Amino acid sequence: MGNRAAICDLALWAALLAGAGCSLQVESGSATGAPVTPPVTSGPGTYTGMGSCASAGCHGRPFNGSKRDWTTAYSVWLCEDPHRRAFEVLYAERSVEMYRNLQRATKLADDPPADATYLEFLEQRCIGCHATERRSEASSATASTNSPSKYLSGVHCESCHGAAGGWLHDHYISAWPKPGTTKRASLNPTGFRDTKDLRTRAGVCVDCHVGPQIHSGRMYDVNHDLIAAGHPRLTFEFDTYLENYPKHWDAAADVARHQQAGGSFHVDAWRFGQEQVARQLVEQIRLRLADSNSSVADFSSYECFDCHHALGTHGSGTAARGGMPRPALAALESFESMQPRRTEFYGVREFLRAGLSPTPNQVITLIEKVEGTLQAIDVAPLAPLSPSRLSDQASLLTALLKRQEKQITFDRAVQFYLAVQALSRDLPDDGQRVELNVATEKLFAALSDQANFGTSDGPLTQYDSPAHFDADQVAPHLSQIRTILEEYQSSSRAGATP
Amino acid sequence: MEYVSTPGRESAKQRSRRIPLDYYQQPTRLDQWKWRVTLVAVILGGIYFVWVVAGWLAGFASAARQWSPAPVADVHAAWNGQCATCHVTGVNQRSDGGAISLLTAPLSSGQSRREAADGRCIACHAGPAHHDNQFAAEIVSCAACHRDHQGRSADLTRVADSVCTHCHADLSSHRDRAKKSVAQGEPFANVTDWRWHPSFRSIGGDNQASFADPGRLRFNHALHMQAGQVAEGAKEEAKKKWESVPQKHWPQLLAGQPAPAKVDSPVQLSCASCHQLDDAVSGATVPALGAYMQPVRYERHCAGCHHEDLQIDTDNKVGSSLGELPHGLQPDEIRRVISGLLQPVAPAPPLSPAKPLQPIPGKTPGGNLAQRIDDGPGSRLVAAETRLVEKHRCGKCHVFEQQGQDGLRPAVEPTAVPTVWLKHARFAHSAHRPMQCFDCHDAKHFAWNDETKSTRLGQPPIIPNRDVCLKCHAPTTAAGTAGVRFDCVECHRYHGGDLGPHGIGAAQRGVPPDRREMLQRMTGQSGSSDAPSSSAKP
Repeated sequence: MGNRAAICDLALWAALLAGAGCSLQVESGSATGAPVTPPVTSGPGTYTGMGSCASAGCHGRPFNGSKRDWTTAYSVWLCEDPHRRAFEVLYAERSVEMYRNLQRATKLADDPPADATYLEFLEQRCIGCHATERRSEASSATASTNSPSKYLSGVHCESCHGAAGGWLHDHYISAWPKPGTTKRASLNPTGFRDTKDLRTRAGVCVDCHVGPQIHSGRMYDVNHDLIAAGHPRLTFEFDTYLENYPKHWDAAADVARHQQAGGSFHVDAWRFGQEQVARQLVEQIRLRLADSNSSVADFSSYECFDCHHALGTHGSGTAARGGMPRPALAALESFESMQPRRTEFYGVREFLRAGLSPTPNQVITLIEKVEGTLQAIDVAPLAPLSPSRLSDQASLLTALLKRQEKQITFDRAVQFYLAVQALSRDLPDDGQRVELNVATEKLFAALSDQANFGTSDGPLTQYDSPAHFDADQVAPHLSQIRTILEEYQSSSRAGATP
Repeated sequence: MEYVSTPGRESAKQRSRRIPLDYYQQPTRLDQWKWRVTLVAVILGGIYFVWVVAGWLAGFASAARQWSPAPVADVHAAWNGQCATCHVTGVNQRSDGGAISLLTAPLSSGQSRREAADGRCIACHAGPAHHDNQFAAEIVSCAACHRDHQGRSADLTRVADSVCTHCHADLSSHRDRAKKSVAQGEPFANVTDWRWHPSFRSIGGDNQASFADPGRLRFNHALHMQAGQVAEGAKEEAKKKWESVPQKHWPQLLAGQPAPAKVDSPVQLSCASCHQLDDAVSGATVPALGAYMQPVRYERHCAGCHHEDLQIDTDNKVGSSLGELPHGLQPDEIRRVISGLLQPVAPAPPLSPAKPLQPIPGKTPGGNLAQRIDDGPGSRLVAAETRLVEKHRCGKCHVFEQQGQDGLRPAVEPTAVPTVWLKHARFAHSAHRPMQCFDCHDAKHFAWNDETKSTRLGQPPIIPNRDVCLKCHAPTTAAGTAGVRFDCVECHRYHGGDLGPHGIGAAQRGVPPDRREMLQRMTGQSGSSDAPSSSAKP
């Protein structure tokens, strides 16, 4: 009896161990039996997936068309947000055309490409910005087959609000720091991105809308290769994009909270947008430096028409008119508007001036400058916003315009237009605002005319920039706007409250 | 002259006249009376005997009753005088009887003693076997345990503990190992006395704290007993409010409490919101006993708060939800339902922002590729499915299989929450109605603390163990507590083995087959389980 019991015990243990070993194999998906560390499934920086947010008791209350706030955030996103289909656009004909262009050097194995091939391509080049990282643990439904269904939800919650692993179970507790308090900054190590703060919100957008994005350890960069293949340029202006965005929060409460804290919503959004874009451009250089597959100074850092022009002409870029090459994707004079740190930013720009083949020494100097700039941004906040920020903003814009009127390019004119729109949204509803709006309408009309180049079918929005930009068409409108802004400045200095 | 003796003293002559010569040959008065009384007694006895026997044979009830030590119990009182209703000539009712059986053996007709004795009882009563592995010789007749003739008010079902402990005090000697029945499990612990009753095996025995609930449903009692069903210290706006619960569910969830004064007050549940006895069902065709709690059902108890989880919000036309998904579908069935609903009658309109746009020269805000491409069923399906099926949705409460079968997606496992936990005994909540829930079910499981806040699956059941029962079902203590009946038959039944809830003689009593089947299912006896399926009626 004793022997039998002992043998039974041994057999049981052997079976248990074998079963445990097999189950580990299945979970890790390792066919070769190589040791695999189990994935980290919780803690700061780990992704939990959208399902938890979508609960009806949390952020997924049914949306009836009117109530947009935190309770219906998921449902509004589902109904209205274009980010939901960020992955699906990769299956549109335009995207497949990009695939063909990018593969032009190699012979295509099949056309149209097989699902698996195409998905592999997307995962290498596109997923970083066009989908959200998956949960760390393998989903049992798709562990064995690689399927696009795991990305079909597009860009969702954690892309903007941060990976939820470190804060999911804390953010509904009363002890969670309220927005606007100093304790809110203590949340950063958890992975939470405070989108209630306008500056952080702008920083969230530029990760993808300027790039490059890091996703599962890989860098996704919209560089000249991608733009040449047909990808739209990543021009960005934060306040405008925020205005156009179908908001899944209570927009009125958001603006009110910002105004009550002493801010001026649209002007501040513009400023924060400028800052974050500038910061991201520096970050872009740093990441490109670190990545062995990228060129240090990518062509996309320059204006298109500095190079893309007919032989015998000088193009319409700044360089053609004797100015300095400028980053094409930069916001309106973002570097120059970053008082008082523009010297650091200028340093970065010098690198770009050095051309496309810097010497090793120049590279080293650049690295130091870049690191220093980023540190300076992180450490020193912007100059405190004064109560008269609206007139300050007006004066800033007029100063910028004065400096650049001779070298205005299409991109810069568009950015200027958008900046004036941001200011106008914050102005009180009176005659001056109406006057300003009329002038900007005319500017818009002039710019749109120029933008509609190309075929007779209509605007070619792929590159949304005219090959031949006629600055003279736009100059009168610009100077009229400048006049109005100067009038506004003097009237507000004379005592009218901004 | 007369001889005169001493005055007062009798002379010899007188003495000789008084005492006859042959006095020693005559019986004394004592003897005479002894004989007389004896004769009378014998004659009277003989008349009595003749009367009893002849009267009994002739069928006089008064005579027949002389044979019985006491009247039979009132359930058999109709036949108190008709002995032949139960007794068979020449057969000892108690098959374990001793000497009498030897005497009557030659008169039996070849049946076993037990069969002969039981012949009359089973005419009305079913006495199903107790267990397959009893020795045949140890299976005794009905009367061996159920002693009648104890008086009118005797309870025939209250058999003595010794009848049970005869085998259960030393089970290994009383198991016939030659008979192997399929349902054999671990033998029970030996019980010689009520003090030695083991902890309940169905809930883990002595290791209840490490016993895993076999139910496959994630549920946290402590969370649901909180006001608003949120963690302790959560923000007010995170709490579930009455205003978001449809009115038709309020009576069930309020469970007799008055309606809340303000509709935006947090929902506070009580035990009775979800747990009701089986006598609370209106329209039941079979009178229910109030013994067990009805199974908790989604449609009745959960839908009030969780119905929003089943909304299908995929249509990008704002304000039109595709409706509420029926509960109980598997992921592939959900996919079919939503795909069917998504077949567009007209092309779906493009996504549209809510406000007038800020135009950008050269760009098309509101008409970007993402907003213009045909919103095919693919992404809408995935979007709806994500909300409904992702592991945190159905998986919020349900457990998924590890692998899908036959190429299907992993299905939801049957919940298999036991309805009846203590399968080897009878328990009636109705008999315990003076008590409150927390008198037996430990309240510590329902309070919010570090331990309870993370309980979800496979936790020890909140069913009281033996020690809780013995607080009352034990002899009266010196302090005056306890004192409730604690004999074996208070909770256990012999007949039908584990099919105790049938009730004895269920077939003969005409308990409908469907109720018997239902009771079998509740105790997990039959093949089907409590699994939800798409064909289940709500």
